[in-house]
Amino acid sequence: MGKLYQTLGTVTLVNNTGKELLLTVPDGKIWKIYAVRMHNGDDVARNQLLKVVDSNSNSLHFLGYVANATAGNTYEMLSHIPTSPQIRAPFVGGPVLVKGGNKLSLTWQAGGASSGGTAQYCVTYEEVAE
Amino acid sequence: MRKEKIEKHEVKGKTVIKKTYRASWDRAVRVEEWDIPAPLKMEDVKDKFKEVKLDELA
Repeated sequence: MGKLYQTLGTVTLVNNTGKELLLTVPDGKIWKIYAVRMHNGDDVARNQLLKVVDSNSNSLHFLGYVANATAGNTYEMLSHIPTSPQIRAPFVGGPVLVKGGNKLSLTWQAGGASSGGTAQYCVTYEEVAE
Repeated sequence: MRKEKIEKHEVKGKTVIKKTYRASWDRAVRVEEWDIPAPLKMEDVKDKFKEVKLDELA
């Protein structure tokens, strides 16, 4: 059994600017991802994307995507039904594994002119030794 | 107060900002925040930046 983390953080969204948040798994560790929540804190719709990338930001796996995430809404990005993440969707049945040195990527794509805002995110993961 | 490293580069006339810091919940985790103005994408900008190592951050 590893150590369980349930992190809550915020990022600042800027007018017509995409935000990509990258969390790097420490070397020698594996993350078992159980749930990822992303909130659109801006006043325009933005596409939201969750994926796994390598150390050079090359995409490895696409885990979740919401087109036109509504301003102010929050979404669980991992779903039991891979093609349809929804608002308050149930958590994924099994964890996604991410190897040490690779990164979990949370992206709020630019949504056009806006006021910007603060977006919350939460990641629930278990860290185990490789 | 967290120590963060901020880098800025002009790419195609737009300013791309990258902040790197240690996670508040685990200092062994490196967090990067990229602000990439539309219509630029990560593929257009990532080669302008060098990866910040954890030991560069107090």
